[in-house]
Parts: sequence; structure tokens; C-alpha cells
Amino acid sequence: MSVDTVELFYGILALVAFAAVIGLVGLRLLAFASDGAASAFERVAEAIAPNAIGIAWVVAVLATAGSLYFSEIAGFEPCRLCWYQRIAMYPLVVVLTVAAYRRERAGAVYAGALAAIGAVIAAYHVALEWIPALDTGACDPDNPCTLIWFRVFGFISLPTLALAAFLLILTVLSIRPREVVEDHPVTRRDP
Amino acid sequence: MTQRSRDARREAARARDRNAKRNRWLLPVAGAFIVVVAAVGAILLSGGGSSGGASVRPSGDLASPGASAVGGNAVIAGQPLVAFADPANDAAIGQTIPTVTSPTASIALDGRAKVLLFVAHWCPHCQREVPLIQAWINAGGLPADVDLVTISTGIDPGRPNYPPEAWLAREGWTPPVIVDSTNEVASAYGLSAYPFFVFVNADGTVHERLSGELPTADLAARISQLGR
Repeated sequence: MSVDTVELFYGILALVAFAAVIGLVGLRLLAFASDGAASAFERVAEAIAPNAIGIAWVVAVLATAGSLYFSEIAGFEPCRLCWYQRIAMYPLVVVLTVAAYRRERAGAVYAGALAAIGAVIAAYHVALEWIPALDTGACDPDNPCTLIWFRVFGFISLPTLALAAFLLILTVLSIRPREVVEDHPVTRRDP
Repeated sequence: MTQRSRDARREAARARDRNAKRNRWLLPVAGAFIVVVAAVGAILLSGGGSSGGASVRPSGDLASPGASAVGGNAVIAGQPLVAFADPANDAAIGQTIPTVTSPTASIALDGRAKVLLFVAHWCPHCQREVPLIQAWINAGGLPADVDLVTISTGIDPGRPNYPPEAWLAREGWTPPVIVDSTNEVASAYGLSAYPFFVFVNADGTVHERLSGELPTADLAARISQLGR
């Protein structure tokens, strides 16, 4: 399988991830205005919430595998911002594995914090690719963060892949049906 | 909490458990389906996994970064300039430039003022700067008694927008180009970042060095200050 094919594979997954994030967030917002949307969101949340850590784990594993493939096999040298995103993404695999094994919902909080940090860095990196002037206005001779290794479908670059993964993880981990929130050990208030 | 509300919550919890059991395999199957569809789609879009597809990437051999490009073999003579760091306190100002002779273009002490522009094909700032300067040249912005010489450096077949010759041709680039396939010319001029400008007086001394994108109005203003 060529590097092009792997780029396309992750590009398609990123499209799916963005669609899922937009769909879930959109449905959540619509739920404020429409009872039908609220009911639909509740059903989706009930399906996702019990499996949220597992879904996030799969996304983190795929993202980590892709990151390692592009740097170690494709030869795309990670820049400084890429490393910051790696610092946020790689531990997610460990944190979510432990959380899933111990069935600890609290793991979602720690993973969510890492994903949020990663999403902010990835968003800045994506912005830098489209507006290089946000940086110093010059390319570091060795490995500038403005260097774009590839763009699938005209817009999905390496940091865009990371952004899609971070946002999906964050979205999935933050979804909970109302009842689950009430039953959470931290928020439960017995008489 | 009343007994009724406790019962309602227990019933809701049981309903959730029933839904969870029913949906136990739904999400893994859906996830696997998405991954398989993405893999098949990627193989089909990339033409069987061999090339191209919807992905825009550099051509060239990834396993041989830094390979020589067409027109290399520049010969450098003279004292190299110190590495560029602080434009406000540049020790190279007033120093005579090293000369460069190459098959495609040269930098000589020929009594003409010069602007030396160092670009890297993979650098987005260079990619933005080149068409702006070419448009400025096309509009007659470059004085007749000033030469603009391009040094294509940082050449890496594993990086985007390779080869640089094709990129510059696409941009309709008219100034002469020295191909610095070994980065020795860049090193001799103390390059610290791309794009990199060296403004040279007619007597062959450095007037100013700059790195980063430079608006053409600033470029013209700096050229007007050169000793000619």
C-alpha cells in the first residue's frame, strides 16, 4: 500500500470524523430548540455514552498509528507543533486503555482534557498552514511548521487529521444522556 | 427522593441496560464498516495503491533526500558571510560577497548592484513571495541597473513542491536561477531562514540581509538605497 493510499485512507476517516462531530454538535444545539431533536439526541447519546471510552480509544489508536506511519515509514519529519500534538495524542491511548479496563468513567475527564489541548494546538497548526503569516513570516531551514506534506481532497493535511481525531474524541467523551449525568457518582445526591 | 422517583430511575436504568445490550455490537460493527469503506475507498481513489489520487504530494524519491538537482555544481570563491541573526546588527554589512559560478547563473563582482533571493521549493513563504516578485518584475519594478539572482536551495525530493525547476517554471519566473543542490551557496551567504534576501551594492559589498516575506514595495525601497 503506497503512502498516497494511506493518506487517502486517513483523509476519508477525517471526513467521517468531521461529519460525526458536526452532526453530533448540531443535534445537541438543535435539542435546545426542538423536542424532536432533543429526543433524537437522547437516543444517540444513550447509544454512544456507554461506549464512549471505547470509541475514543479506537480513534486515538488509529491516529497514533497514522502519526507513526507518516513519520517512521513515509518519512515526514514531525515539526515542533506536530510534536506538541503527539504529546496530547499518544497518552490518550494509554489513558483510555486504562479507563476502559477499569471501567472508570472518570478516565473520560482526563482524556478529554488532553484532547482539548491537542485540538487547540492542531487548530492553530491548521490555521498556520492556510495563513503562514501567523508565524514569523519565514521558514526555518530545517523543519518549519508551515511545511505542508500533503493535502487530501484539497484541505486535509496532517494537522487537519489530528484536529479531526481530537475533536471526535472530545465530542464523543462529552456526550452523556441526561440520566447518566444524574447517576454519575460525583453528581449523585441521595436523600 | 420519593419511592416513585426511585422506581422511575431504576426503570430508566434498566431500559438503558436493555438498550446497551441491544447496541453492544452496533457501534463496533459500524466502526469496522467505516474503516473498511475508508480503506477500500482509498485504494480505489489512489488507483490501486500505486500513485496519485486525490492527494496532493511531492513527487520524487522519499528515500534519497538531498539528492542533486539538475544544474547543480556551483563553485564558490571568496570569504563566506557570517550566519545571519540580527538585521539591526549584521556583521556582514560592508563585507564583499563570495562569488558563485554555476552552469545556470552566476554571482560575480561585475560592478552591478544585485538582489540575491534564496528560496526553498517546499517553503510556503517562498511560494507566496515568488509570484508577487514576478508580478512586480513584469510591471517593470526591477531597475535596469540591478540584477536579481535566485538561488534555489534547501532542495529535498522528499518534500512538497519538488522539483524547484518545475515550480519556478509554473510561476513564470524570469530571473536567473542558481541551483544550490548542496546548500553550500546558502551557507556561504549565512542563510538562516527562507526566503532570504541579500542586497548587494555595485561595489560587491553587502548592503543588507533579510529573511522572511518582503512586500514588493519594501523590496523596491531597499533596492533604491543600494549603492550603484
